[in-house]
Amino acid sequence: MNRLSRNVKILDDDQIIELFFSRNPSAIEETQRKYARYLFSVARNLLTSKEDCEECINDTYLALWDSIPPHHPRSLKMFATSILRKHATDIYRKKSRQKRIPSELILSLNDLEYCLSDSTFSDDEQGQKQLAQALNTFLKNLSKEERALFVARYYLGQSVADIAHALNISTYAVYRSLSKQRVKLREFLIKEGYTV
Amino acid sequence: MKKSTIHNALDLLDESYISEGIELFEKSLSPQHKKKKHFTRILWVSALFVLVCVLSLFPVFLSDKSPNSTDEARFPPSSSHSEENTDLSESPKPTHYDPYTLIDFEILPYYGSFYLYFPESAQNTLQIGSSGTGPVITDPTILPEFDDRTMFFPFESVENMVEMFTADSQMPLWFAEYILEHFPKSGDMILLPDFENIVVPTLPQSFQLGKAYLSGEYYCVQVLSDHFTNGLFNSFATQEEYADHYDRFSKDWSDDEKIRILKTYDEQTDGLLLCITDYLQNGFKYKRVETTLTDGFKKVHVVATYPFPRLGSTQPISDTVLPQDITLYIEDDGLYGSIYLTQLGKNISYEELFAFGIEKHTN
Repeated sequence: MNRLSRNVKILDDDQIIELFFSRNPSAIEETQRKYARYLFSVARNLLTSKEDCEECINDTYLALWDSIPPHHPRSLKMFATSILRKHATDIYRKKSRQKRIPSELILSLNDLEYCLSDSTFSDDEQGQKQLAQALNTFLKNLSKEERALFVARYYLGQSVADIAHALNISTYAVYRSLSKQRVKLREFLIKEGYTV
Repeated sequence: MKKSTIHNALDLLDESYISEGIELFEKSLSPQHKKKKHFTRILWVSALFVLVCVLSLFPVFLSDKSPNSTDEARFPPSSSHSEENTDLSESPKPTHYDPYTLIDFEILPYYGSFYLYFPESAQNTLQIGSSGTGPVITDPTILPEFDDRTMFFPFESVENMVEMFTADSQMPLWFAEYILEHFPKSGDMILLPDFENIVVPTLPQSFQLGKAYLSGEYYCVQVLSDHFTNGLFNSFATQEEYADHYDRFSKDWSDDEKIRILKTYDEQTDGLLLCITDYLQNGFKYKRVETTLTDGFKKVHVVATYPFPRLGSTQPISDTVLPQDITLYIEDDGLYGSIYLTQLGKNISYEELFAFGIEKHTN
């Protein structure tokens, strides 16, 4: 199977987007070929059940089909990730009445929630924008590695163990770094007047 | 602030930052990384294989029986097997701790291992767990450190167990069938070959846990899980909610059986709440925490009563000195129990504990 897949040419993002624009159904197929594994890995961090992940990914493909055009994403992968996150949240909410094991993303958000618990951001759209702005400013002042760690953990819900593997460091070191980041974030928010 | 707000705000992060995170994320998916992981697995699997060989020879040295009769003892015929095991309540209660009997080992292609364990100390209780990101189990006398996939399930009979699993829609039927097929005696352990395909059943809610326990029908339903404790504590937005929950537990559970979440709480800013949950096969057991304020120090004394025979009846775990800058040393047996430090009524996760310089010492 691997041998076969090696012979299939993987299209680049622009070519796939072109297929979407020409309303060619193979756009989905090509997206799947290129990003299925990646999307599944992200989905797995956001949802706990394999079936939910598959449902979420299928929704994502459909949403890509519906939104390109008019959208012309600069990065198909990032665009798909963003859509997948939204769908994953919907699925999670839809099934939240069932007893479920919290996903890795929920666990990571728990930590961030605690860190932001005293902040003055409102829960409406305005508050979201303000928080995003603050986070962007905060991330700007971090090193590239620190930013990657933040995004991998809180945006993609990557597990601490996987991050540790990727960085070839101990999970303890990742825990520490994340914790330090949250302390920094808190200090930053206080300094900027976002926390009471 | 709601999680959804944070989640949505994260969607508005600068694209370049997100792509940096994706880059890191993909590193862990890269073939090189997987190869490394695969190599580690091979190492563990080899070690496991050697261990299995050694263990399979072990009974031969210990008894006069031929290897065949030993095998018979370890793998009883299926007909008498099910008869023998459908009514486990009649089997004699263990009076001492014995190393687990290994009845079936599979060479595992995955990192970590998934296992079923029927603890002798708590009959009719099935423990399902995995060593998660840790190594495969190489020594059946040492259970791996429990992780969020470890669960205990009570059952009255094989049929009841299968019913439970299949009623819980996330447990695939083949898995229940597999258990039936390999149904072991109490005290046996099975390693399942396909870790990835097992979907861990849904998380029982805390109140259901209490009721199941009190009904007397079950030995226990327990979840060994960070998620569990997170779920238990994170749901309390305020100290009042927490207290209310605690009260309800106090009412529903008898003194000997209820989860003891003993707390010392100082209303002042240096207030510290030490919550300890203890999840052993026989149920949540008593733990005591005393906090004494001295000059700049808080002394936390932790005592646990373990029902687990190996550990004896009452065993002090630690004398812990907690300076005001929050450096806490907690000693425990390293196998059971999870210690959560909660400050001002808010849950602090392990990563926070580490951040506070708290270290766990294992004897």
